[in-house]
Amino acid sequence: MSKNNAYYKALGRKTSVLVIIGLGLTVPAYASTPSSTNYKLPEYTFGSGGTNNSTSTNFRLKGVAGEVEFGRPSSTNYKLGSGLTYLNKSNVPPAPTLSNPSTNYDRLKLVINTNNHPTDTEFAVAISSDNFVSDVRYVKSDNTIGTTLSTTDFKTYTSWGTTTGVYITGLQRNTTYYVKAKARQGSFTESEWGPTSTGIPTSDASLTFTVDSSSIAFNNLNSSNSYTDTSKSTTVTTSTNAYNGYVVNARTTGLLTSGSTTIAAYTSPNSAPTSWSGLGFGYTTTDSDLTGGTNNRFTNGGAKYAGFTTSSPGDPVADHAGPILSTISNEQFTINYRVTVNSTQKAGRYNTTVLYVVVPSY
Amino acid sequence: MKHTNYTIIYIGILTLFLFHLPTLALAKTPTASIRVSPVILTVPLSPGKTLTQEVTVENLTAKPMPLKATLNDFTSTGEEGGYMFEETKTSPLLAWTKLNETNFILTPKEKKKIMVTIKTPQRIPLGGYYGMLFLQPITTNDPTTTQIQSKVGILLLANIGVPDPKAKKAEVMTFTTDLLPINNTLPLLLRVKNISLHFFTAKPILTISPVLKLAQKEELPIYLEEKIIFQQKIRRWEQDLSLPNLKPNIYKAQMNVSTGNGQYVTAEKYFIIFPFAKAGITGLIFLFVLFLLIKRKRLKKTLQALLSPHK
Repeated sequence: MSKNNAYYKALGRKTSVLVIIGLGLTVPAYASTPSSTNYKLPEYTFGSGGTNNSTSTNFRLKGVAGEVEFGRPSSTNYKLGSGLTYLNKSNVPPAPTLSNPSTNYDRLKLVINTNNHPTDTEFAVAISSDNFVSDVRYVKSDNTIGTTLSTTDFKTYTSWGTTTGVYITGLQRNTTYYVKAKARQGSFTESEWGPTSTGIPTSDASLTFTVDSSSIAFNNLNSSNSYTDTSKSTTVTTSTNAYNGYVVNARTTGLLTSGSTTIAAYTSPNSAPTSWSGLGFGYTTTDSDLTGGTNNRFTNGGAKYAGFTTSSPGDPVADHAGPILSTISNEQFTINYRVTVNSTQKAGRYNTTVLYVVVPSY
Repeated sequence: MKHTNYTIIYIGILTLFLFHLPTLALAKTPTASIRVSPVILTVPLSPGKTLTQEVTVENLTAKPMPLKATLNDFTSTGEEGGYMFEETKTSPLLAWTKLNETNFILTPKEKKKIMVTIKTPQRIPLGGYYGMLFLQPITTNDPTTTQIQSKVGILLLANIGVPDPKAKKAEVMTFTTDLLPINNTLPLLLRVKNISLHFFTAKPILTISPVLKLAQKEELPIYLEEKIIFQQKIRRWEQDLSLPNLKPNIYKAQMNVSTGNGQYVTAEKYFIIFPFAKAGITGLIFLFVLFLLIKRKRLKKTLQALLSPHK
């Protein structure tokens, strides 16, 4: 129902009532009566004892009827307010579209649907996890949810992201949500709440982590391979929908050790890896957008190497920074190892433990 | 003839076997592959109440997998959101938390629910508490090789008590942009400190509007990444914003950092978009034309002298 339609419909009903009343009363002769292109009230008065417009030298009275005689007529989706000023309502908006296109666990996508609303119409959105039985909350101006609806929570269609929509955040995982909207266009025009959307559930925040091997056995280091092995690697595969992404940190529990003899860690740190030069046990990663320093420090200009730390939580070797709005699926990074010793290194079986720890970023 | 056929079949089978054997030997079977959910467990706690949450862990391999579940303390480090895992468990949350299983074996493809029960004492300080639940596949230890181990961390976050929704939760410590951004790329640095007792998710919303407006137009907000800020910690947003549609003008960058429930902390900066390269070329052309106009008589004489035949 458009604003004007509502007005005319109400006006029509009012007209018939007022004309009947007018038959038995003396109608005061005042200035021009209300009219439009198609309608005109030849004479009227107020049933509740009010008055219509009147003017003097310094004052002008705007007549407003006190009450509508028939209360507040309503249907399933529409309801008229009390008094003439309330009749100028915004159209009740249809149910907004709620969706979870990226299997998010803490947010849902909301698109406001309009009903021929002018561009300066403002909308407010209510949200519930039980289809508005007892849980009634509101989408705040920052698209989080709160228990009260403020005037600043009404936003234009543009601010609600038009057809792209916005994400309502701060939701509970594995919970089905319902939304409904109301509209206003200036003072005294706030509509009733519109119909409720389909319930859409949030997902669960999950993380899948795969390491492709449980051990590595380096080649026998001797003069034929220049006491170097670069052929061993570990591939880590991660899938997650965690909004801020994930980080895989790596560390060793100690140096490569054989009895009381060790092979030192390669000297360059994770924050500043270098092209291989010298001796030790080190690694490089294929992640070209890595946290903890210059993003492509391991891949820019060929493979750059760093030595493993033994301190917790380790150094980043693979990651995916947020925001993650679509699930990361089977993202693979390979950590290539290199060990180089000199010819005087004591013969023996050297080993250690490399630990990969994946944690959600926050 | 029959003997020859058997020989061909035998050679065929042998060839197939020999060709496939290296492939089978080279293919790596994942030795540790698990899925956990949720990976971030946010729990609203109340003093004196007990809350139980489920964490699901699934063995994605085709082999049985022994697993160990442990609770770990951590400290939030740096402004980038780093972790420092502590050997000593000082977080009270870990003392209140019990796991129904800490060592168990998952059969191939099995999914198991671990019950995380948090029993909070009657009298505890309000505020944010956090910890980490680690799930680690246990692999066989071969002393002759270098072992590769992995573990997955589940972030446990708990707020005790409901903070006043209208109380100021944060302060903008730094908000800077370049005054004269180049190529419509705006370098932006934002640092926000949590001054409340609870952790919260900060959502920076940037609105860029021209100061000199020809027409009233609603500016679309730019949503930056949301980040959790633990109490008394600072988080940083540092990035280059590409703003290709900005025309030459003076702009106001209004930063509203949402702290939840429609509450914001704000900061603003002004910057100027000016096409230096285009203006420079236009300026040079203008100066050249001006030069031609001023010196036109002398240039005309010079040209005439150059073009006229030598006497």
